[in-house]
Amino acid sequence: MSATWATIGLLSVLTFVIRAAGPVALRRRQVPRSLAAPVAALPTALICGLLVTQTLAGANQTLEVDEKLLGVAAAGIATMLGVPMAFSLLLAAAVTAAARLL
Amino acid sequence: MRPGANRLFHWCPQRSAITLVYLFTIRPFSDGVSSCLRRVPRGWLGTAQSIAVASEDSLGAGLRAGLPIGLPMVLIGISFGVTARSYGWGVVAPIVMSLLVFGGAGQIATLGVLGAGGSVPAAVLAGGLVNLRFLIAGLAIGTGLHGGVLRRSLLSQSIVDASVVLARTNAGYGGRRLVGSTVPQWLGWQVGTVVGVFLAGVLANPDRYGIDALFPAFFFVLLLREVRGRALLEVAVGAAVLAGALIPVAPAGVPVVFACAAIMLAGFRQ
Repeated sequence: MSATWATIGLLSVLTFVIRAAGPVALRRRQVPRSLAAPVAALPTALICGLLVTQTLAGANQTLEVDEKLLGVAAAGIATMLGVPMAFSLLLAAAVTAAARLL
Repeated sequence: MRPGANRLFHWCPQRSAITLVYLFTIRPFSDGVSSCLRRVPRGWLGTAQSIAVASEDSLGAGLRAGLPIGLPMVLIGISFGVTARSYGWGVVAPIVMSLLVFGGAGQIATLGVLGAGGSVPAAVLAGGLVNLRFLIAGLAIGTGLHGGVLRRSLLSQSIVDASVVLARTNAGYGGRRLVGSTVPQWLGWQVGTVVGVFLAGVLANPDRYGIDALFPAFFFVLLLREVRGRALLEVAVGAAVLAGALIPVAPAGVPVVFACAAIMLAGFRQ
């Protein structure tokens, strides 16, 4: 049990530092010109990387293609058709659940 | 180099192998994808609510931007609470963890390592690696946070995955918008964790309800709004390929960080 609490304590400190590190180091400086393009691309790269890893990563470093992919695709199609985000997300869950039932 | 109206990067092939790979494999693929996308009727992509376009730096605007993800966060929080209980955790520990760490993917990674019998350092490292993406987000968002070290440290605790998109303003990033957009997510996460730990007996398998598809779908929706023009499409494809290729060979959290670092490095212009 103390392993659990030690882990929680250490992870929370670590996560705090991770979150604060960028802003504290940057100190409201303007992004230098040479970094302007990469930083502009950063949100796209980050979101896309998260998309791929969360859709396709199974446990223990395996690539796992499962019903989540269908749900994600359904959410994408719904968004392109103008469905509000909250409903697209619920649709994703529903499609995934339905696919798992089959 | 081909001229182009949307050119964000000036590629220098001599710079790195990554750039070479990018030019010869990813660029042709993204050419094909973007020519398909050009055939989609104008206005289909990113219609309706454009969260990224209305970009006022206020708590209210942030709240409105983050609100749609509040309910999905509750569901994912429930998933975390149930999973924690399934690993033998009590009721208090998951709730405290969600309050102190507030990072879903990292919390789950840590659960997994401890549950498989890993040591405390291994579990903390796993969670830290997965949460390392917040450092990358912080590098972008940091320019919008003002004040002393303490104030910036505290404000930056509201950084979550979507913040790189939701906290954007016309002038970069806004601290008020950042906090506003995170409030619904924070609330949802805490409520969900509480509900999850108490309903653990009833909701044995959240995956049956497709809850694990919520966040990937959320990122896809965000991405569809983000990608405007050829350059960003290339970035997205590049990040996808790099991250995907690294999944089998690197621990959780590393593929995303590496993909971002590689993309940024490849686009770095001297």
